[in-house]
Amino acid sequence: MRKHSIVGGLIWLVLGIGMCIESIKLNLGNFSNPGAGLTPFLSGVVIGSGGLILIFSATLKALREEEGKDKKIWRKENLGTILLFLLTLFSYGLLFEPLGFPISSLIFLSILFILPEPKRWRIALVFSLITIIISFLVFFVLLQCNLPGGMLRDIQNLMR
Amino acid sequence: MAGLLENISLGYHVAFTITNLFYCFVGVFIGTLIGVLPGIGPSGTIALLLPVTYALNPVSSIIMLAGIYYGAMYGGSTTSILVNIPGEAASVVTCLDGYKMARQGRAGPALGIAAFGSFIAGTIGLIILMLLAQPLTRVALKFGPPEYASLLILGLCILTYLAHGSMIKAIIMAGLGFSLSQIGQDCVTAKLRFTFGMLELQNGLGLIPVVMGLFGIAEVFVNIEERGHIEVFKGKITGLLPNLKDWIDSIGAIIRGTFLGFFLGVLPGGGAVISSFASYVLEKKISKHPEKFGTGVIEGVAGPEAANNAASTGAFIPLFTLGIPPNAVMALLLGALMIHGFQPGPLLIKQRPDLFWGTVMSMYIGNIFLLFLNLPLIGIWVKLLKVPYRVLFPLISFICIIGCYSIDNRTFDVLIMIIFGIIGYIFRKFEYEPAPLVVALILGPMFEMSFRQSLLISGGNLSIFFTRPISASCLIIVLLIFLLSIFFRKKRRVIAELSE
Repeated sequence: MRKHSIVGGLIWLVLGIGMCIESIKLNLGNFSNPGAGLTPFLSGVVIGSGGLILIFSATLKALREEEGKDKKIWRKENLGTILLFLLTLFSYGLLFEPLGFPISSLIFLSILFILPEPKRWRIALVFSLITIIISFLVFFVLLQCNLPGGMLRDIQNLMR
Repeated sequence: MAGLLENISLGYHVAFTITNLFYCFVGVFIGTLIGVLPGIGPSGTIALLLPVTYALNPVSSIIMLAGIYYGAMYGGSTTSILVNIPGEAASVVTCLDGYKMARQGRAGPALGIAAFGSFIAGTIGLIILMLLAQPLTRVALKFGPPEYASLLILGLCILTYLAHGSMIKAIIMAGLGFSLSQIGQDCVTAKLRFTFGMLELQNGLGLIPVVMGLFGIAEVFVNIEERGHIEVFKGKITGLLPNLKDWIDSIGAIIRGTFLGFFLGVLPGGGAVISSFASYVLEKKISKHPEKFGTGVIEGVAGPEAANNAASTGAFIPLFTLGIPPNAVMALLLGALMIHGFQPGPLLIKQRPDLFWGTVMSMYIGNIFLLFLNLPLIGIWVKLLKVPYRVLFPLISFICIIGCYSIDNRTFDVLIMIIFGIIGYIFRKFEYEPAPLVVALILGPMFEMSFRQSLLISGGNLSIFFTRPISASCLIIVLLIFLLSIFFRKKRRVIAELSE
């Protein structure tokens, strides 16, 4: 974790300094009349100091050779699935309003259910449909949440 | 005493309505479910269900969310005993002796004593909660802005001290949470801060998208990466009622675990995880046969299970009396209280006795529900363990997205949730705990307001924090904690390694 601690510490240090600069721009005021930037400045100091301590302690450990090799943090085996999941998640978030709840959800759930076992796509599709119907009943009918109609609503409006 | 009885009667009237009984049952049922299912914890579930509670009566919502928390403590032991995988972090210790008991053909008594121990601890914990709540509220009424500011610093300080890993990392997380809470309009001057021209950030960063990302989506990422094959217990579970010898062996452990757990639960950062470890260590220390611990002794199950349940009850004390959440789940409950328009703090119990006493009484009922859910229905929970994660994770992420969108009907919130999901996943990889971040995010505005009010009252004189007794005591404890953390660095590391 030595290298990671130094890199992490540097990130926190930069973030802390950035916070402090932005806070000064907001006006720190003084103790009798604190400005909008005073408390963000203090939190910037906390983050930056934390980063500095991380860097120093990791460097000290390196000098004393307290820790051996860096631990392996990322597992390569499932990295593809994670990236695909992330991509699907972002696409769903972005297409949720334009495509509407039923269509975008069907695409999203089908992809996620089919991914691990592509051969059983029919079951995945049925399962996705059931999930969408149940969630529609719970969120839209029971809890009266506003779910986007998207394309379906546009078509409905056009037909009128 | 008459006042207490009056309050208990009020609590029963609130808790015994059909609606609240229903939501109490739903809460403990979901709690047991997520306690059984590894891969989703109470924080993630409460974050997931927060938007759903918008449409509910506020008292019913809190009753349900509280039920999820203490219900998860019951359910978590099932997987520890039968699969050697803790459904909940607080049930890690139960694996040590519980799983060994199951392998020796004593799964029934292990599950039975876990459920009965939890029930006894939950009930005694509630009695202590009722007795302590009112005197503590009277003390809390003496709190002004400087006392609040110092107490919030103390709360965050204990939380970071008791964090599992590096204390520095926990402090950075608290600082980050505090910084995130500053986004939006300044509470005094209404000046916009860190919005970078985005209209959506003017009212601040939404709590729900952040916690759903950090706990819900991040958990999915971690589980996709680490999911291995789960070997589910195949034998028949019989003899759920512990015999007389089991009771004699474990009753002392249950009582000790209850008191230890309750008082550790009250401390910020203490919570269920630490109390279950502390109870196990205590039982091993005072046992006549410490060498048998880890080979399947019933005290090793009874003590920690009682402790984690009592801790979950104790955690309600600082939340309801001071408005300070001692852990991430309580921080989410605080968020829920604020969403429903309650002003958490010393006046909450006085102003809304129905909420406090209704929730407390519903916890009694919830404990009885849990006993029935966890003993006769154990077979169903075992079957649930066989649901593959590839079916669960699309559903979890789907509910997260729908729930997050439904708060304000904004895609922006969904994107914030996904971004915090990625951030949460990276934090876990590099051993940064998200709990101090969430607690600081919620407490941040309260701290800023109290801090600035104190400075205005004193005309900019910082000595206001050191001259008022309560505030000064809090700051002295903060100083002591820092000194302790320097002197006992090695000990903390050992505790951290143990909990790993």
